[in-house]
Amino acid sequence: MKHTQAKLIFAGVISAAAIAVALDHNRQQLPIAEDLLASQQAVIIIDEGEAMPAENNDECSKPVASSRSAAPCSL
Amino acid sequence: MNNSNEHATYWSLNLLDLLQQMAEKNSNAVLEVLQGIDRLESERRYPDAGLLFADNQWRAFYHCHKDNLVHPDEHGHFHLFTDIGDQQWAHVAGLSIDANGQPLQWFMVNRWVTDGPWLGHELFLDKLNAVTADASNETLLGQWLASMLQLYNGSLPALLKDRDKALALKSKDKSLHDKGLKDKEQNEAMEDRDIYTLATLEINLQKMLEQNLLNKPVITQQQNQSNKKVAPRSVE
Repeated sequence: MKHTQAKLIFAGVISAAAIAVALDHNRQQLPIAEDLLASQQAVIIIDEGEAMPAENNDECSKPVASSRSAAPCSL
Repeated sequence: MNNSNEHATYWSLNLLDLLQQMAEKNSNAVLEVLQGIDRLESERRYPDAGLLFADNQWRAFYHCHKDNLVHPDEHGHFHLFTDIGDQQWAHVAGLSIDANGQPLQWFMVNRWVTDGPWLGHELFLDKLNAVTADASNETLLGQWLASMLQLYNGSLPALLKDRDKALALKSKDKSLHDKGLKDKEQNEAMEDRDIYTLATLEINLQKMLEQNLLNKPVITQQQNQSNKKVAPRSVE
């Protein structure tokens, strides 16, 4: 048998303490998620003499339907 | 020891080993996925394209929502998807994680949450039973996710059934006899934005590991050549 020759090895008995210690050491504080997407504001630098960016008269200023907000947890 | 017990013991031991490996570097499943990330942003997926694991048959990402939708103590959750062919990925389950990186619960979501194909029971069982955790090819997180799936492979199919029952109950008119109308009602329920979670299963990892490992001879399995870990298959 080339690849599934399993060997069963009977090792020592695991204690409750070993489980508790492993779980305890695995408890690590996670960073707090920042709500950057909602609070982020764009800074636009306009040189003297340049036209102001359009506010409501072009396609870019229209709200875009986002597929992720429609299905917030999709791949 | 029957096959099912061997399966539970094997995957419990595997998970314990992974917990110890993560603990040695002051890490856990979520910190593994956040390595190299300066700022954690809500609604963003980590990693963005999803982490492939279990022989590239499964994919997962972690994210946090601005508002807790699933569990009051939740920091964020993993979403797990499986490859169902034709470049399609079906959502299998979510895994809620607390602020210390510990799993709180499994949950099943409504279809609108993840979109994509709706996973049926038989395919779910096939995919679940085929989950592997090859230490030589998989990341620690990939192995951890695979081990969690295998450890709960006796309960997750029931959770999927609970999902379908809950969805049937949410359908507005359950007395409909016309199949076409029933399907329509069900499709409407699947898109109902007021229904996010359809079924949950609480996780108590300590209890689970103690149940499967205490007072038992520990079995580890080694394979030559491929070095691929495949647990004894459970009979469910």
